[in-house]
Amino acid sequence: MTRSKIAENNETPESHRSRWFSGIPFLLIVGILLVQCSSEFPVEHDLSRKAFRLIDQNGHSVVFPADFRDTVLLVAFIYTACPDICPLTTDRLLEMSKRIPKELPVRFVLITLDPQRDTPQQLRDYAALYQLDLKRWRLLTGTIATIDSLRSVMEIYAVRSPLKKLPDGTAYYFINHTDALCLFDHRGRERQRYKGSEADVEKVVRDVQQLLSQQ
Amino acid sequence: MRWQGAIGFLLLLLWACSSSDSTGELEFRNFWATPGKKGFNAALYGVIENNTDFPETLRTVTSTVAKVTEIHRTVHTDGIAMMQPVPEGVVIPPHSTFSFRPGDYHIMLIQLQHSLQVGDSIEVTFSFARMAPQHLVVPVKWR
Repeated sequence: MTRSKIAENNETPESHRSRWFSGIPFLLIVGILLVQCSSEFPVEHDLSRKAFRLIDQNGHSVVFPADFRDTVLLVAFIYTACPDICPLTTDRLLEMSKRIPKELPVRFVLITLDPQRDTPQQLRDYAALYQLDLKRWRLLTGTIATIDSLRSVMEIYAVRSPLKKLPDGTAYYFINHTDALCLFDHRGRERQRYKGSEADVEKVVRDVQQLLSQQ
Repeated sequence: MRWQGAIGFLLLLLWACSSSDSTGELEFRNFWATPGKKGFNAALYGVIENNTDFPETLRTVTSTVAKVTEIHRTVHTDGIAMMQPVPEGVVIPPHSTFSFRPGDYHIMLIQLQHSLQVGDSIEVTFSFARMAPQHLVVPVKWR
């Protein structure tokens, strides 16, 4: 039956097969293009099935990333005693927040690398210093174990410098850490990572808009 | 002749209004401190120009605004930002400049004694190996 239909179309099985095979490169190209389009933001770390119980700047419990479902997130890892790199990252993130319309489902999250010193009060003070709009920003701390676990999953390095002492005997330290700003999709998957202190504001804003358009 | 005098006056005015402090031998350009709450840390940035024929070493920086002031350098290795104290100070070659800038060399104000807000200014003393200490009034601002 198939053969007679082919015959009616003046095609031999060989020519049909040859046409079919000649279409493969076209399909391959389309396939590759589709894969490339969808993998422009490949999943770097999938946290969609993870639940990290953190505390925000007001002392409220937050489950990360589940509590931010349906929003695109820009997440930076900082600590409030950081005098050089973290202010640069926060400053850039602040600039991005000014360029992303408030009505879009985008939130800005700062997660501390220093849960021992960064209490909710300390995070509130940091937010006040930078005049962060807390309707769009969340600053998160937690137990040392939870922060360590989150860092481990996200491959964020953080190690304390040797302890030094102030003239009054108080110990102080700094933290050597990954300089990271992470773009999360609405399902809690990290899709892009930037060098936080040097992130290109325009590019990140474009990436946020592109990710939003894919959702 | 009158216009030459006017130009001279304008140049003098420009020099007076510029944001550099100079002893002739050392020039401090565009120094600024970042804001911070009491108890937080802040940073000091700017450029020192050495106009002499000799290398000069900046040994220490002090300010009553912080419990401790240290010279530091941020070094990036494999995506990790590492803070390195520079206790030996920094050398400014002759007829050359040295920059303290975000993400690189900076002067760290550790544990502010009081909050620093945009518009405030702080007094800072730079101590050198060869020359007398230099006192500077530095504005607090973002960038």
